[in-house]
Formats: sequence, C-alpha cells, structure tokens
Amino acid sequence: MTILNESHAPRVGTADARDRRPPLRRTGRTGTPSYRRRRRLLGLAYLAPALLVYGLVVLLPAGQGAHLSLYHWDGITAATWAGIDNYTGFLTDPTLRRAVGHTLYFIVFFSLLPIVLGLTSAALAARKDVRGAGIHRWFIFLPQVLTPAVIAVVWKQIYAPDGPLNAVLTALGMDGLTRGWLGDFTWALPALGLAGTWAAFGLCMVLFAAGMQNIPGELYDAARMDGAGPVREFFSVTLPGLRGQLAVVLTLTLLGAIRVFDIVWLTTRGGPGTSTITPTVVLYQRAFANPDVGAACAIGVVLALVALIVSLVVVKLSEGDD
Amino acid sequence: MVSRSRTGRIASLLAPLATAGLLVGCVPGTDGTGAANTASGAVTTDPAEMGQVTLHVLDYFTGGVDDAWMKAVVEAFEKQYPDITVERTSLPWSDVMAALPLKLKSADAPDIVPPNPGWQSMGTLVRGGLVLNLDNYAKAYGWNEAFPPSIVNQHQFSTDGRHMGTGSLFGTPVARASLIEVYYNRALLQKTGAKVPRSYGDFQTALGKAKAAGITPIALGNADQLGITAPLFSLMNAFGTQSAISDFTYSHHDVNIGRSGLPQAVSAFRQWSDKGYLDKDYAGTDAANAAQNFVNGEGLFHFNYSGSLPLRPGQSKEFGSFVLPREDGGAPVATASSASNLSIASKSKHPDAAAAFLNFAAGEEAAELAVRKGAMPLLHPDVQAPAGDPLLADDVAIAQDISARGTAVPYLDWATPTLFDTINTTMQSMLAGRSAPDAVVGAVDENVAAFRKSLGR
Repeated sequence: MTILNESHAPRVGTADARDRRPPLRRTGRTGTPSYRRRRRLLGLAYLAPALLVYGLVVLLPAGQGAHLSLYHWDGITAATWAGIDNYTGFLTDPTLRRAVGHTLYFIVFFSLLPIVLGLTSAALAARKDVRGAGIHRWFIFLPQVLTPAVIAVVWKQIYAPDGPLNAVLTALGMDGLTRGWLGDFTWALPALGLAGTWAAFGLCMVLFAAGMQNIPGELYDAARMDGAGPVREFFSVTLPGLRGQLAVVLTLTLLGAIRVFDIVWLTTRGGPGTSTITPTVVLYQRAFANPDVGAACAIGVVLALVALIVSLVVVKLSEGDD
Repeated sequence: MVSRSRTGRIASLLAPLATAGLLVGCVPGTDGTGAANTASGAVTTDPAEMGQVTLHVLDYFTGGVDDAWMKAVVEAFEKQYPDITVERTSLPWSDVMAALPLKLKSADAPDIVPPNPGWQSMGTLVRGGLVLNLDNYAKAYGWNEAFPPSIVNQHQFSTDGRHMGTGSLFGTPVARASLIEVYYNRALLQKTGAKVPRSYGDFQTALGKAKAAGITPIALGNADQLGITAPLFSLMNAFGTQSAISDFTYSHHDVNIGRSGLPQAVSAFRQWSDKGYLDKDYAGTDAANAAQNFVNGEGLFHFNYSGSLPLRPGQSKEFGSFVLPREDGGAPVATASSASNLSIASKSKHPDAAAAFLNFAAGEEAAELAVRKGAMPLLHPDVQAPAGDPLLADDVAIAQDISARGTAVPYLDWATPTLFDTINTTMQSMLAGRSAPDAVVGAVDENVAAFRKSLGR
C-alpha cells in the first residue's frame, strides 16, 4: 500500500497545484466548497484501496467474530443463542480467570521489566562513548530478529532438566536448586516470563538509545551546570525527552503481553496444570481443539477491546502535557 | 494529519462493514451444508462401474513408517484398480483435526478424511452431516462381520449424532494398529535380574528391582502434556473390565466411574510417583525427549503408542514390548484402535471408489504391507512378523492376541471434546502433590456428566 501511495504522490502534487491557482487570485478565500469537497473525495479515492482491504480482512471478520461470540457453536452444527453467556465465562470459568491473572503477571515480565532494563542499559551506554557499544546493542537486539518459535525452542532447551541453566547451578554447587523449570508449578510462569523479558529487552533498548541521541546535548550541559548528578540528569532530561519512545514501547510490549501465545503453546501448553495458561491459549483450545467457537470468539473480542483501550490510554497519556 | 471530522467520516463509511459482519448468516451453522449424509441405496463394489476417478485423500501419515505404509497401500491399490488414481495430502495430526470442519464444508472437499474417533472430531462431523453413513458399504463389503466388534464400535455413531459406539458406521479402521503398550529395554531387564512381566505383580517387582539397581524404572516425560495418557490408560486396563471401560467411554448403560478402573489407576500412578519409579525429571521433560531418552538406554520401561519409538535402523533388537498385565490375572486388555479412522466426505462425488479404497486399506494386503514396513498390523491375526526383528515380533503377537480375543478398549479421552485437557491438567496437579487422586477422578466424572447433559441425554 505504501508503495502505491508513494508512486501516486507526484500526481497529487500536480493536481493540487493546478487546482490551487484560481483561489490564489481570489484572495481572502481558502477555496470554494465544491473544491473542498472534490479534494476530500480525491483523498478518499486514494485511500479507498487500503480502506477496502482493511475493511474486508479486519473489520468484516471482527464483526463476524463479535456476532459468533453471542452463540454456542461447535463450528459445524446449527448454533444456539447464548446471549452474553460466553462473556460471563470471564467471571465464572476458573481456567479463564487464571489465564487473565497470568496476563497481568506477564505484563510485568513482557513490558515493565524490559522497559526498565532497556532504559537503564541505554542510559549507561549513552553517557560515555563506550567501546564496543555497537556490538553490545547488536547482541541485545538479536532476539528481535528471531521468530517466536525459535525463541521458544531455545528457552525450552535452557530450562530443560539437563539444560544449561541447571548445568550452571550444578557447577556453582547449587544442586539443590536444579529442577525441570517448565514442569514446576511455582517456576514455570516466571521462567516463561523471563524468556519474554529477554525477547523484548532489545527492542526497548534500541528505541531508547535512538531517542537519546535526539536529545540536544545542551540540555545535559545545562543540567550539569546546575549541578545535576547522573541520576538527576536521567530523570530531568533523559526521561522527559523519551516520552514518544516510551509510548511506542509501552504500546508494543503491553500488546505483546496481552497476546502471549507461541512461547507458552510451544513449551508447556499452559501446564503444568493450568499454571502458565493464557487467554490466547484458551482461545486456541476452544476454537480448534474442543470446538466451542462462540467462547473462543468472546475471548477474542475481549482481548481486542482491552488492547484497543490500552493503546488509546497510552497514546492519550503520552500526548498529555503537549 | 487527518482531521477529527474526517476520521469520523471514514469511520462512518467503514462501520457498516463491521456491522455487515454481524449480520452475515443470521445463525451460524445453518447454511445447510451436507444435509444428506446417507449413501443412496445403490452402491457398487465393482470397479468397472466406477469409471476413471481421482480420489483426494487427506491423512496425517507425514513421515517414517506411517508414510511408507500409506505410500505402499496407495501403490498396491492403484495396481488393483488401474482406473482410480489416489492423490494424498499429508498434514500433522493436530492441523488435520483443526482444519477438518472447514475442509469438509468447502466446495473441493477431499473424498477421504481421517477424523479421530470420539467426540473431539468425528462426533461433531457426524452431527453436522459432513461424513457419509457407510452402512450400505458395510453390507456390500461385509465389514461388520470381518472386523472385531470392539474395533467396529469405535467407528459407530447413532444417526442423530447423540450416541457413540453404537448405530451406523461412519468410518472404517485400517489394517494397522495404534495401541498403547509397554516397551522394555532388554539389556536393563537382564541387569535387574527380572523377567518379562507376566502378571501385574511381576511388573511391580521389576519396577522395584530397577529402582534398587539405580536404573530409572519408567522413562516418562510430560512437560508438554503428551506423556500421561499412555501409562494412565494402561493402568486403567489393568484394573477395570473391558466392558466397563468401553461403556464408560461411550457413555453406555450409566457405568459408574468406579468400575472403569480409573480410580485405582490414578492411585497406582501416584504410588509409582511416591516410590520414585518415574523418571525424576518427568515434569520438565517433554514426551518426545522421554522416548529418546528411553531409546538411549535411560530407563527400563516406557509407555507409548505402537510404532512411536525414535529407533535407528537395527536398534529395535534392543527392545521388546508387552501389554500391561491385568491385576486380576485375566487376559490383557489394550487401549487400541486403528492407526487412523477413514471416513468419506458427504460431498465426495466418488463415494463408491472411496469405499473401495477404505476396504483395501483394511484388507489383508494392507496388513502384510504394515509388517513389511515394520508397523503393527490390525484386523488380520494371521499376518506373520518377518524374521530378525524381535520388537516387531512382540508387536505382531500383541496385535494377534488383541484381534483374536477382541480385547480392545477405546481411548478414554474420546468421551468428551475437552476430556484430554481435563485429564492432563488434573493429573499434573495430582502428581505434583497439589491435589489428591480423587480430584482427578471427580474432574473426569464431572466433565463426562456435563457433556452428556449437553447432548440432551
């Protein structure tokens, strides 16, 4: 779509130039109503292909999903009306309630932790011209270029009973701590969370590092003149200067936490018991394994709404004082 | 920057689309696909009347022995029916099960599909009229007489789709078994001084001897929730009677769960865990790795489906197999089915040719091909194992025994669409000591009762 729009861009320019000539002669008027309408229609015409595709592949299925969520349906036989039954599952179904709780837990690991680590790491790297900073950044960014399936396989290996983590613990003489991490009711959830932190950390750091380079050096000089130490400098200059990046990173990582699926499905399938289950895993099970399409759609609708609200709130907050 | 009024305008243009989605097909599932699912009265078994036909077959035989056998069967079938061409599509098991409803509804549905027996897959397809009632073909080919009743039941549903294990045939078995058995490591068994267990007591003794000798008694892995059902169902078969397990799974005759052997099986499993008979890392190891560990010699026994060991050529000499002996000393009962159920799509334009393929895949030649490719046969007790493969010889002997005595029971998790998850999550909690064995039994009972109610029974 972008390519299409760009290739049309010059023609927009010429069309505009041609249209603009007459109003220039009639000073004091910004354009006739018919001109404005035509301009608006022209804009819509250019947008039309994108809007059409968006409507067909996003909005139409979204509407269908919302519709299906009001029925009990096995995907094949005639559905029966459910009203809001599928939605009350969020209150009454213990599995789903646990899954929602795990999402809140994952927000810490997939969003808050990577942001804190990313900020710290970027601030440390930006303060002085550290040797090898490029390589350092490259290493930390590496998880971003791996597909989630690969990340899952790597961490499954790391947490395996005979995997590297237990080997390190044994080497340090802490045999008592070794365990099959992903099979442990207490540790499976934080173990998967840390894998998520590792995966999201790099993106946060690179975005923050890029943002810091755009903060004018004079601000730091001024802060130092006023006697600010590194910590004060960070909170008074760096952090406010990164508000835009913070909004982007918060949106991306929060949505990531709400949607966690691949790493759980490819390692524990929500187990042991239901100790790592997430709403998306429940959605998948209900949609494909034990056909209960309406319940799956209700989960999808709720996740979409929550994601929408989260992004709106983050955007509003980041624009707040401007 | 797009102004607010314009965003509003665009939204107002797009909103109808989303609303349209809400209204498409007022009640889902009432588009009338596959309403007629009974083969018309006249069926033919004569290839001359079938004409030039291309059959599209969907299967989950993606590799190894599975694929080799299926290829050989297709080749032999095409030789016998030169006018019929078979085109296969193979996908992983879970992909097939997830895609079946959509594939069967589409305009170019495959002719032959492999829905899993039970309520997860086949039951729903029968209720939706998406697979063909095969009664007329069963009569024409004599299937109900040729197959043992315990196998035939696995492919039956009532025509209203409310009862399983009885009524009309909606699929057929193939001449290859998928059976839960116990594998043993011959060298380690000798080292412990035990013999191949002939009784349940022998088996427990062997476990104790292995533990004492510092050998992992049972190689197990359940991190991915795929390792529990094989040992659990074996234990059920050791404690419950064949009829009670079948009836409970099919929801026939209101069998009390206490008679299914499940309560004793769960308790026995807990005892194995308490006594340290299970691989100490089973909770953090996934099922495939556990099988690999067993093949690598790390464990005396291993519960698994027939043909599931990742053996290298020549390695099968090191292992043997048996069905867990019954606690009361009776003839062994095995959780066993055909390696795949084959059904015909209601939309198939060539049901006669498809039925001919089903008949061939269940025939003696297909069973011969199974043993030749190193797989466990089914339905044909006369098929002999080739010499020089003691593990396959054990497997063939088991298959003969189960086919001859008719002592197959269905997989318990067929009983409801969600039972597999229920069994796995509750068993994990119980084995971790977070709940009592009763909790597993109660959850299973509740799950089955809730599903029966949803069927309106």
